Amino acid sequence: MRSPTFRIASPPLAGFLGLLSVAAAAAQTPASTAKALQGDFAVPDAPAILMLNGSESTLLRPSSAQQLTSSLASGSGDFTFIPKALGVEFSPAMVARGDHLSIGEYQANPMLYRTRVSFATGRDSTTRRSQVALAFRMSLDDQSDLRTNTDFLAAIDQLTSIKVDSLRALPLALIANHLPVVGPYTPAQQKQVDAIAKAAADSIHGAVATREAQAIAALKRARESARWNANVTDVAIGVRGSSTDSSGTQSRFDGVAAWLTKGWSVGAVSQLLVGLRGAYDRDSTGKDLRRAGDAVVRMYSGSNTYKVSLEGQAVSRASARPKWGFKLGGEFEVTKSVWVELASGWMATGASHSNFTHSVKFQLAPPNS
Amino acid sequence: MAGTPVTQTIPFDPAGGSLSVVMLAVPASPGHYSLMLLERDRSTLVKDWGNLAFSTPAENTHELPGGASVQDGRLLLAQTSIGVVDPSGACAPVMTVMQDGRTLGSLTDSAAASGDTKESQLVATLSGQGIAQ
Repeated sequence: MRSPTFRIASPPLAGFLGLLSVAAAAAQTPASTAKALQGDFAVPDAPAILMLNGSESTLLRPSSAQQLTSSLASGSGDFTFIPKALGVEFSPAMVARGDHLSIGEYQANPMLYRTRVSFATGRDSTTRRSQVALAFRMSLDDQSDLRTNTDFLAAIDQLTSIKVDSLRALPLALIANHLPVVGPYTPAQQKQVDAIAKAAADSIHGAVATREAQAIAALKRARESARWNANVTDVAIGVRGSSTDSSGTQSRFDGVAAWLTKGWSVGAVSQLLVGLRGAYDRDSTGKDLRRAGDAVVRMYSGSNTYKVSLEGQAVSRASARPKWGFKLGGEFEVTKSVWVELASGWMATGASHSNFTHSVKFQLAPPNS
Repeated sequence: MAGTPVTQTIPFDPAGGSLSVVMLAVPASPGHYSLMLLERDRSTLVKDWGNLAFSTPAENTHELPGGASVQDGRLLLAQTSIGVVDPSGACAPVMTVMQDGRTLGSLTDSAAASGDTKESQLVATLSGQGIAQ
């Protein structure tokens, strides 16, 4: 949920300040904000949607072949070649094998199962052309993947083992007392079973409560660490095209884009991130194909009550002067549910134009936002 | 803790080859399970495989002791705890009973998980009354 905000001063530097808004929107759940802090320069979850400037809020993420078929059918609407508006993102290997894929098989070839395809269609509001985009995203290294994160797996292994030991206690106790492990029971048997179940539960609780609490705490730490600042290497490439109508008439190539993100965990709460994006695509008029490139280096640290980021950015567009910028930003919880965002930055266009900017923003972050 | 057990009767051919059971946690989920084979009186333990980790189908396949002819009426009890790792929150244990490389039947608990783990109980009753050919 988006929190209400109150901005005191905000000189224009939209590319930079937008990032802070994203970061603050989830201010009370720092473990989930690492992805948001990576902003526009991380490899997007669904590159095809981004290429058509679509919204991920309407993105469909099928996890089975049946859901995928249903998604594609719902996007068509009528019998046209190109659906009017559709956004789908999925892992082909998981869709094909997810309902009978073991953890061991996944770990033997994680790149295959992490590779995701996104597909989007839409209508360009300026040119009125029907658009289509297709992209592939691969995670070459992803310690935020819980299925391969060794710390998380050790913690979940310990916790589930304790839970299975607890579950086993009752059938073993019933067997020891020569009672059926599963019903139906006679009234007399039911009384005995209830008494044994209570005794077994009390015994198990005393024996494993401390271990289980420690395992849950370890699991929570491992999950947060995996999400916040894990090592990650993501690449993606996508192409888009368009036609004058939804049947594919006068189809043309509109562009190709590629992303690379490399993130390194630094200490317990920090991450260094390098993001690159290159594109060769049509401009807003839809006439000419042009080259563009962006690069960003960002360092951020965070906890439940503060976040700090420092970044350098370069933006290049064909036939335009390159832009350079630096920004220092942070957000702090001053009282419960009240956050302050501070940002200060400098941006230069070519050699002659540069300006400083700063902003202060207050945000109310409702619990569980 | 685990909710209501998922139960199913699985027919097999008593004149066929030995039976085996494959335990799986999907989609590609970590966790542990316990597997027990009980006599038809439901209180005598034939075999307890203990507390095992979900890994690969090969490692999680267990052959039932004795030939197929002695399995009639026996029960397989699986108790599972699965770690929730899929972004969708989906996870389920699957117990599949096989004979001669052929799947006889599967049990799964598709109830939604509400926390870090999901606990389930699966009970398969083996029936030697024959299977449709």
